[in-house]
Amino acid sequence: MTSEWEVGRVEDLKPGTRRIINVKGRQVGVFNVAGRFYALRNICPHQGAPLCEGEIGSTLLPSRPGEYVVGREGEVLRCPWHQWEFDITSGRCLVDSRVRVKTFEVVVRDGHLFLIA
Amino acid sequence: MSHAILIGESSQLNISNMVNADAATALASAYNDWLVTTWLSFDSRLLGSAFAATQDPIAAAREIDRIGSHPQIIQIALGSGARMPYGQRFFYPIFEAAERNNLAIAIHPFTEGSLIANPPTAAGYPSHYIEYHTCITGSIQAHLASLVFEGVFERFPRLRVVIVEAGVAWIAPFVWRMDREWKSLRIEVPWVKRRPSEYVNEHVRFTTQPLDEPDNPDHLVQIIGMLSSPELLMFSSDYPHWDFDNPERVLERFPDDVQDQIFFENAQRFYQL
Ligand code: FES
Repeated sequence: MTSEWEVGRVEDLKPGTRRIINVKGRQVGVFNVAGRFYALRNICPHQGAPLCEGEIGSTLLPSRPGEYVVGREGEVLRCPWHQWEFDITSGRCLVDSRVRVKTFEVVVRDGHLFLIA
Repeated sequence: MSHAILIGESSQLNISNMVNADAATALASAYNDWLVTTWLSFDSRLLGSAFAATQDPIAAAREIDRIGSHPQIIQIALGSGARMPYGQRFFYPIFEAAERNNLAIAIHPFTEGSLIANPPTAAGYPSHYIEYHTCITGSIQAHLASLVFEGVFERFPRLRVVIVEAGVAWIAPFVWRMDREWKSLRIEVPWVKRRPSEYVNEHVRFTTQPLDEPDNPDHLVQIIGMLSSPELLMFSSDYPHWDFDNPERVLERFPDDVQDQIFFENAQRFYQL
C-alpha cells in the first residue's frame, strides 16, 4: 500500500541539495535538481553503498577522442564507494541503464514536499 | 572478526622506490615502529605488514630480523613496482630473513612507474589512470613467473608469498600457461623440478580484491572454480580505498563452505593463526 510521507518545506530544500529521510525504516534521498524534486533509495545497486550521500554534480559527456565536454550539471550523483554515476532524474546508472536505483515520486502541495512510497 | 591484517598503502609501498637507499631503510624502520605503537598495540586482533627497503637487501634483512620478532608482525610487504623481477638473486637476503622469521612476503600492486621503479607496463607509460589500473596484473604476473622459474621456492622451501589485491580471474589461465611453458622449456631452468602450478599451490596465495564483475556473475564463480582449489584465495577488502570490496556483497554467489574458506579458513592456515 502506498502512502505519503512528509519530507519538509520546499524552501528548506534548495536547488542542488538533498536530504536523506527515513521512510518505513528505509533511507531515501530527496533531491532538488534545478527546482524539480526526485527521490532515490539510499542503497547503491552495485555493492550497497549509501549512494545518496555521494557527490552531486556534472559529468563528462560522451565525446570525440581528446575532447572534454562537461554536461548535465546538477543531475548526476556519484556513488561514494566505486564512483559509479547515476542520473538523479531517472535513477539509472549512466553507463548501464539496466542498473538502476529505486526511485520514488515526490509531490509538492501547499509549499510542502511529500514522498509517495 | 578474530583478526584483521593491515597493509600500508602507496607511501609505504614506495619506500623501496626512493633514490636514496639509506633514507629508504630509515623510513621503513620508522614506519614499522609507528605501525607497532599506533596500531598493533591498540588491539591484539590487528596484525601488521612490515616494510623493508629493497634498495639495500642486507639492511632490509636486518630490519626484518629486528621487527620480525614482534608477534603481531606476520608479513613483509613489497610493492610490485620494482627495478627487477622479485625472483632474482639480488632480493635473496630479504627472502632468507622472511623465512628465518616465519614471515610471509606480500606483494601489492600500485607503485609501478613511480620514482626509480620500472614503467607500469612493458608497452610504456599509459596516459590515464584507468589504463594503468586495468593493467596492474602485468607486473604481478612477471614477479610470479620470476619467483617460480628462478627457483626461489627451491632455495627457500618454507617461503610463503601472498599476492595482494591483484584480482583473481587471471590466475587460473596464467598458471596453466606457466605449466605449459615448463613442459617445453624446463631445460632452461632445470631447478624447477615440479610443475609451476605445484609451487603456486604450495607457496602462493592470492587475495580477492578487486573481484571481477562479469555481466553474468556466475562466470566469476566458474572461473574461480578453475583454480586448483579455493584454498588459494583469501578475502581482502582494500578498505578504505575507493575501489574496495564490500564483504557483505562480493562473495554472495559462492557456496557457504567456499565463503568460509575465503573469508577466514585459508588465512587462518596460511598465517598459522
Ligand atoms: S557501491 Fe556504489 S558504485 Fe559500488
